[in-house]
Parts: sequence; structure tokens; C-alpha cells
Amino acid sequence: MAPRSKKKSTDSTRKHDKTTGKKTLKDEGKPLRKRARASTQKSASSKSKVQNVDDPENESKKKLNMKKGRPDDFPRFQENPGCLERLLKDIPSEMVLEVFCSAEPGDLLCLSRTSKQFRAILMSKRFEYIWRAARQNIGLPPPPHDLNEPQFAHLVFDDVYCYICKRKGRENILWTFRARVCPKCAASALPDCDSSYWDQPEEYCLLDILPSESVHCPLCIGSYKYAREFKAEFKALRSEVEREEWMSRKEEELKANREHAQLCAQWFRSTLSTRSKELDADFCYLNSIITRFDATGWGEEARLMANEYGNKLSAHRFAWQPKKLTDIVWECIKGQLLDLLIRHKDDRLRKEEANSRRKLYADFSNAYRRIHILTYNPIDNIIWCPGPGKTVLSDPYSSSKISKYLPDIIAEWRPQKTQELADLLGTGATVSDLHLATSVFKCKAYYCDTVLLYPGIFYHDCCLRGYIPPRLQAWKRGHRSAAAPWETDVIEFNQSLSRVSKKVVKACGPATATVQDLYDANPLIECKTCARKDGSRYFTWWPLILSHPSYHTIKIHPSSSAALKSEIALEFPSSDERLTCSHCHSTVLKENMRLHLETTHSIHLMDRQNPLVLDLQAIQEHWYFPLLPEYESQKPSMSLFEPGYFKVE
Amino acid sequence: MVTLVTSDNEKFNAEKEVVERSVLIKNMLEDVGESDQPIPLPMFLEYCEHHRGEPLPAPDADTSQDDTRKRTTDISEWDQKFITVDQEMLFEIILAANYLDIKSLLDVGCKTVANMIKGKTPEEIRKLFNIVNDFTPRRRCAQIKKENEWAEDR
Repeated sequence: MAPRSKKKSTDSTRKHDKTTGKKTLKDEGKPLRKRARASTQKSASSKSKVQNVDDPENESKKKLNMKKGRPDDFPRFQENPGCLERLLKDIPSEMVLEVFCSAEPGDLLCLSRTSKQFRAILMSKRFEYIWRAARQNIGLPPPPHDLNEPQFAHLVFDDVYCYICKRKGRENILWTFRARVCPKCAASALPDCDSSYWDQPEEYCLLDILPSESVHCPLCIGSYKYAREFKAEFKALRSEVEREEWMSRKEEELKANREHAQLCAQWFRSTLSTRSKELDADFCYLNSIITRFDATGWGEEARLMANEYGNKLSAHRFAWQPKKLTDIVWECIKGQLLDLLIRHKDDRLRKEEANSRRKLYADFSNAYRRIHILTYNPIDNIIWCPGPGKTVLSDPYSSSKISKYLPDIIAEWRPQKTQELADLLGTGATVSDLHLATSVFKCKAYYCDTVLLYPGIFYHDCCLRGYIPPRLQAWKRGHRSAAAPWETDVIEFNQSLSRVSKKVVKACGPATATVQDLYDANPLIECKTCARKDGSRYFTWWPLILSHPSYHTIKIHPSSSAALKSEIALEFPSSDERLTCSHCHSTVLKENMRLHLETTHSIHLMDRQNPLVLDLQAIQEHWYFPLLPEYESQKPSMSLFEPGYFKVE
Repeated sequence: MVTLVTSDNEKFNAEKEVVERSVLIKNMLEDVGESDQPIPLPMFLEYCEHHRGEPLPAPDADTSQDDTRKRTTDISEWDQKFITVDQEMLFEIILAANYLDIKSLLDVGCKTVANMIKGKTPEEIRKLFNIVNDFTPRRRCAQIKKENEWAEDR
């Protein structure tokens, strides 16, 4: 066929001219089909009239389209009844066959069932190449030796039903047996390979000759037909040589059969996979919808929305339709989808704004974690965007940007708060008085009673548990450092502790006045009230004395009594007091501190020769008493030894 | 440059590389040689222009190979748009592609028509071609039985 394949195509017989050498299927002798219409030319001309704008018929159709809501310039390419009639009438037969070659075997099967004429053509051995070409178009392996092309097409493409029970649905193709059988029938109607299926002559019953196929592992089925045929064939053979030859031939055939089945199964799997992907693409309006939105400027928003997990656009019923998105459908659905996008954009902008503020809050928090001033008005204003905040929000976030604002803010915030603390000391007190050792505060929060000194007072948790503005509640989540504004409501100046401190200061001499001075002096303080009858005396240190009952009588041994301190240092106090690890700030029993430092922080400072001795003085940088604020950097230089009873002469 | 003249005497100039996508024109040019004489042909410049530079099928493909040659099965997006025309024009394209021996365009045209048949039942195809079912129901049953011959005889 196909004169177009000739090298020189200038042959006049091949020229496309309706008046000359045109050769149709009809011209080949018998009429191809009965005609439903007298002439396709007539239908073609009426069709062209419809497309004429001036035609009144076209006007009426236009009105009809307008009624249906179709755009006037809507391109029409529909497979109307009879639209391919001209293919058979006016197109040369070789072109029709060329079209058939481009079809799929399943479609050829359907074509062959349309009329006797088509069947005669397609089932003819002469036109087998059409089936071959159609099969090659889809990459299907050639048919097995015992099936011709149409039979093979029937097996692969025809109406899918079980050949045994005739039900449609869950059938499998048994490639070895060239049959479609549902699993139920395979298990019940076909013989199991392990049973009487192998009732074969003993000469070959153990050889791999009879076809079998695994349906559901371990179910392996056979065929009575093959079993009967093979048995009959074998018994018909007379000589031993013939039998040997027959067995080796069957083995080869089975091998080829299995290879072919494997190829077919592989093709089938890949086809299913491709089809599955095509369905995903075809059934999804989504991409078409997004493309359409591109024209209206909403494409980017649609893409953003479609990429979100669980978004309403992808899940929308319009996004999953088993058809292509046409202009008519688009006109109908775009309003609803646009509403969806508008709502999404509003939500997205709101979330983005919130996230940017959350980020800013976190950045401020990281930049200045120690002072919980994030709810302080200037920072609040930055976060919530009036004034300089706009600059920050519009710029990329960076610590350098934030640190540019922080010093000024802190410079304004700190004096304000320190003045509030000074006001707690009483009228006439100034900010400088906060540094005095006599400025002792106490937390009045429930179950707290922590003694507080300046500046550690700024890090006391109870001061950060006040009212949190509602709009900051959301930001607090996930930020451990985030807290309520630092307030002085829960702290008070403690007169009695101040008196104790005053007594210590007085005993240490005129040069001692501030908290730091007392740390440096580190006086030994003895509580007379706590002395025992056995002669044990209770010694403690500053500022631990502040947590001792203030009504007890105390005696201060100034720094000159170094000998006494050394003597006490040798007497290791035995108590279950707890220490705070200065590395991880966890509370550890004193006797476990050595183990804790070794295991948790890999610090080996202990004398392994005498492991029971814990020289607190030697390892003071690793612990502190959990009395004052627990932040490492603010940890005051604690007394060398914990308070306790000592028998000192 | 080559001058092409359409049937209504409109002239077009096109580069030789473009028009040589048509095997017919290529052969004509080879036969005629360098000449100023215009070549009267229908225009398919748009298609050829788009596919300029793509490899042409082997010129020595004979008839026997043509039956089993690898056809273009995937239609590109551009080709799809190009071929989205009414049926009349589609047939004209197929005929002209055959006349001009532009295999790739012929494949696109044929595939487009084949796609119109794809997945349709025999009854739907009958409507498409406007043909009458001349099978008797009995014949139909026999036909199916013949196709299922092997399976029936399991």
C-alpha cells in the first residue's frame, strides 16, 4: 500500500485531486457500507453553511449557544455523528488504512465489529500489517505462536470479563493460558498444579513441560486442556526417539511461552502505570484551572493554594472531572473558584503577617534573651508595625537589624524599671541605693518567698507572670523566653531581711556597703539561736543568712577569722542539701554532684584515690546554691561552703 | 529561497531547508535543480517552519518497510494545536500531507482521526462513520464465540 512511500512521489496517480486519480475504499469494488445519507458532499456543504456567520441558521444556533452560556467564538471540534463519513468516501483507501494503522488494536477490534465490510478488511490476512502496526504503536509484544493478531487483541483489549464466569471486574490475564480469569474462578475451576493435574505419563511428569501460572502465591494453576492434549500426544508417539524429541520440543515451547508471558505481563504493568498517571492528569482539572487563572492574574495564587496540604482548591469537586476543561465549563466554575482564591489570599496574607511578627518576636527574643522586655511598648510597637517597625518588617530579618534598635529601647526601658524598684525601697530612695546590700527584696508570690537582690531581681520568674496582652498570647506559644511584661507587682522590699543585711554590713566595717562588697568580704556568720547543746555551732554565709529566720540572733565573724574558716572547711558538713549545677542548672544532691559532673559533663575533677571527699571549694565554678536567680551568668559568687553545724573550739 | 505558488496564485518565499521537509518538494528540487521558476504547491509552510531541522525519515524506505515503520504516536502540543481544525480541513491536511509526502504531518493527521475512534464501542463507531450494522445478532454471538474459542475449550 501507500504510494507515498515511493521514492519519487511525483507520480500523477498520487496527486490529491478530486477530479483525477482519487481512489477510495468504495472504488475498490464492493460498496464499503450502506449510506445513511445520500451524499456527504451535501452534509459537508450544510456544515459549511452552519459556519457561515451571515447564515440565518447560524444565527439561530448562535442564539442557542448564548442560551447555553457558550461564548460566540467558542471553537468547535466535536465528534458529531457522521463526522468521519467523508473519510470513507473522499479519502483514498490507502489513507484510510493508514488511519487504521494509527489506531490501537482494541479499536481495530471494535471497527471490525461495526460492519461486514470492515470485518472482511480487518480480518483479512492481506491487511494483517494494520494489526501489526497498531500493536507496535503501543509497544505490545507480538502475539504468541498459537494466537493471531485479532485473537491476541481480543485477549488484551476486548471487554474485560472472566472467560469462565463471564463476570466483569477483577479478572486477571493468564498470559500463559491466553485467558482472562477472575481469582475466584482460577482457584475453583482451574486445576491446582499439585493435584491430579500432574496425572501424566511418568516419563515426563517430573519434567517442566506442562504450562502453569502462579495466580496468587502460593496458588499455581494448570489447564486440563493442556494436560489432556499432552497426554494424548505422548501416547500417540511410538518410538523412544520420538518421545525424547517431543519432550525436548515441549520444554522449549514452554520456555518460550513463559518468556512471552513475562514480556506481556511487563507491558501490561507499564501500561497500567502509564494509564494511571494519565488518569491522574486527565481527571484533574487543576492544572487547566491554574492555567486559566494565569490569564486573569490569579495563577500564582492558585498555584500557591494548590501546593498547600489539604487545600480546598485541589479537593474541590471542580478540580477532579473525567473530561477536559472546556470554555463553557470554565465560564461556569470560575466564579466559585475565584471566591475561593480571594478568601485564600486574605487568609494567606493574614498568616504571612502573623508569621513575620512571630519571627520578629523570636529574633528579638534571641537577640536579647536575658531581659524579658519584649512586651515593652517600643518593641511591641515594632512588632505590631507602627513607626520604625515597618522598616524592620519590610527588611530581611537579621540580628544586626534588631540589634540596631535594641540599645535605644533598652536604654529607655531599664531606667524606667530600676526607678520602679527604687520606689519600692521607700520615699527618698534613689537608683544607686539598689546596689546596697541592705536593699533586700522578697518575692511575695504564692509558695515562692525567694530573697532577691539587685540586679538578679530582673530574672526572677515570678516577675514575668503577670498579665499578657491578648495579641501576644499567640506569640508566647513556642517561646520559652516569652513571658508577660516584667512587673514589680510581686516583689516587696523586706525590712527584716534588710536589718539582717545591715547588721552584717556594719560588722564588716565602714568600707563595706554594696552587695558586691559583702561578696568580697565573705564573712562567716554564726547563728547563736541554732547552736546545739552538744556544742555544735551553726555557721552560714552571706547572702545565705538572708534565707535564715531573721529573728534569730546572729554573730558575724569578719574576714579576719581566716583560721576559723579553714577549720570549718576541713569539717565537711553532712547534710542532704541540694546544689545547682552551674553547667546545666539542674538540681543535684551534693553527694551526687561528683557523679553528675563526670557523667553529664565529662568533668573529672575528683580525687579517685579518695572519692568520698568532695572539695567544694576546689570545684566552686561547677555549682551554686539554688537561692538566688538561677541564671548562670547572674550567679553571684556564693559562699565557699554551705551552711551547717560545725564543732569548732 | 524557493518560491511556492498556491492554487489561487498566491506566492510565498520560503527557505529551501524548510520546504525540503516535504519529500515531494525535495525530489522536485533535486530533479529541477537550481531554477527561478516558481513551484505551484499548497502551503504547509507553517508546519514545515516549526519542524525545521528535525531529522527526516530515511529516503530509501521502501514499501515493505513502510507497513511496519515506526509511526509518530505522541502528538506534540504544537502539533495538537496545529491539527485542531474542523473535519473538512483535517481531511485536507491528511490528503495534502500524503501528496507532499510529509510523513510526520501525515502521522499527526492519521493519529488525530484514530483518536476520534479510540475507546469507542462498535455502535459509536458506526454513528461516527454513518454506517449501518449489517450483522445479525446470531452472527455476533458466533463471532464472539470464535474469538473466545480457546477459552471456551479450556
